[in-house]
Amino acid sequence: MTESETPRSFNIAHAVIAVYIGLALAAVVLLGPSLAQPATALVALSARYASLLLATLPLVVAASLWSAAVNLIPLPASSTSTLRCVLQPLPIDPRLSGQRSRHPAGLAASAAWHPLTLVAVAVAFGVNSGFTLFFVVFSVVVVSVAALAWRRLSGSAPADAADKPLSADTPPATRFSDMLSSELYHRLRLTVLGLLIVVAIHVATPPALVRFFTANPAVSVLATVVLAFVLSMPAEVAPFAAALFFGTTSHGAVLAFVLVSAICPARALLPAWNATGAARASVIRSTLGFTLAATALIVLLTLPISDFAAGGLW
Amino acid sequence: MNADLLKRRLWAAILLGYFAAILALALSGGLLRFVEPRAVRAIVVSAGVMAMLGVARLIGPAASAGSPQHGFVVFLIPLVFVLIGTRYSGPPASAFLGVDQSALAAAGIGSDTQGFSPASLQLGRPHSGESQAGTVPREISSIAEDPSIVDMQTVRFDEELFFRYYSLIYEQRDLFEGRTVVLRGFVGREPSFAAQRFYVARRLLWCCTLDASLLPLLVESDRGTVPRQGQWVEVEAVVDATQISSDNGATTVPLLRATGVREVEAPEFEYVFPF
Repeated sequence: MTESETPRSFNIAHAVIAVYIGLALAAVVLLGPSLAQPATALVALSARYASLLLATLPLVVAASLWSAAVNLIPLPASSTSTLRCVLQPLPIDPRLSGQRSRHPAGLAASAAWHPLTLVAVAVAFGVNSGFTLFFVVFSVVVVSVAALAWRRLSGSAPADAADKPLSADTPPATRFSDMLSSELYHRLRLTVLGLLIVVAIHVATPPALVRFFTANPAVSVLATVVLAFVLSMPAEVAPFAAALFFGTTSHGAVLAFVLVSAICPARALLPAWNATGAARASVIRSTLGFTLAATALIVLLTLPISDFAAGGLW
Repeated sequence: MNADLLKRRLWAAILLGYFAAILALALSGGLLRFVEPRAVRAIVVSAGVMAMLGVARLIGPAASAGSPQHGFVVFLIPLVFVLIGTRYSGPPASAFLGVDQSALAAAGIGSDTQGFSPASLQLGRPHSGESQAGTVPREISSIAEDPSIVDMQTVRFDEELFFRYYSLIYEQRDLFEGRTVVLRGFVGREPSFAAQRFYVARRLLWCCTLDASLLPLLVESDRGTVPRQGQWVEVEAVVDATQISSDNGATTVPLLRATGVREVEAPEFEYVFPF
């Protein structure tokens, strides 16, 4: 890496943490008065938070192990970029994923079609509930259409750096350990913060606000899309967080939360922001374009779904 | 000690600390407060992986890409909340993990019992025939084409509509009087009750189980069929009214005159939701 390619000193992670703290403070200020029994509510919140955190820990560790292990294996040069993304999911660490592929479609496919993401959706909602099937179908549609649309609109293929070995100068065991450590740190941090915000919202939301969301599915979808985008939870954790909204928002809003978390979260913008060199502007344009297109598609697809069982699907 | 080494050791300490905390929870049985027994092994194994990584960070060669540089304080949050969460004494917190199968069934969007099949997606309301005509009256659905409660032979207090029916029977008792209702709930009694009276109730879940509200309906039966307290029953009854005395004076409330009471299994998820 030359000096000109050194990542920018400004770290968006600090800004994201500031957003988290802001959200928590806003939740306390806005929703605090509705807590009639603060101590009881805090114990309930803690139990639910701890329960979710512990239950998702094996998935977080497994996803980190998967990333660290499969990215050590060289794939044949003939394999397509989509196949690579599925077989070798991109690391969640922006520093590492930035070395391999910068196009957000790859990042989205890596997360959405990761076997552990599918397992998480199936466990959280049930294989036979419709959520799993619609998650798979919609994620394929959104990733494919958003990538194609942006490619057509921009008139060229999105910038996608050639594969480079990750820290190829170090022994495989050290590379594995480094990558596992980094993946675990990033996934765990996003999980810890994201679940805390979601559980706090779930426990502290006043019934009047729940009624408002129930009566306005469009607002529900937009709210969950924004929340999922900001929280940027790992795709294998998001289904458990989304399940908390089941029964208080439309089924479309629940599905939108899972889709946005997997396909176009805010953290997907980090590799583009950290990109350097002449192609940086192009990378940022393609990333923003993909994110906007994918988000719009998710909103359009999930907005009409008020109830999977009520025939309210288009 | 340089800053990089300090951060590396701090990260290793966090990983080892998580392992120790999870191991202590598992050995003390505290883990079962939060997760189902079948998940315990996977969580302990995960903690073991974290411990091994922590040791590798401590004794391994200096790393560059894998050493976190900031944000360690975030990892204290779970320890604080798990500590507070151990004071929780309600139903197993694991009941809130994922969507409960009974909630999915109540919403009519299938369950896991039949395995995966796209054809099993139910895109229509799960009610059929007679029950469809009598389950969602226009007084609840607000759709003009739906039948009114007065057109129904039997009003069934379905799981997903329990609270709305419950509210309606108190607010517009005259709509129900003389009609047959069928509902499920658990049995309770008050010391002031006459011998042949009891209540059938569900608990309403607004946000968490700790502040769940009781939704009781007064039932009157002959002595021979009064079930024991806590038993789950299905009651078929004709709606009447009765006066009860309270601190605010006499109040008229609905009274269900039971024509049939049968014991049933408690549902997997005992709560009802407001919507």
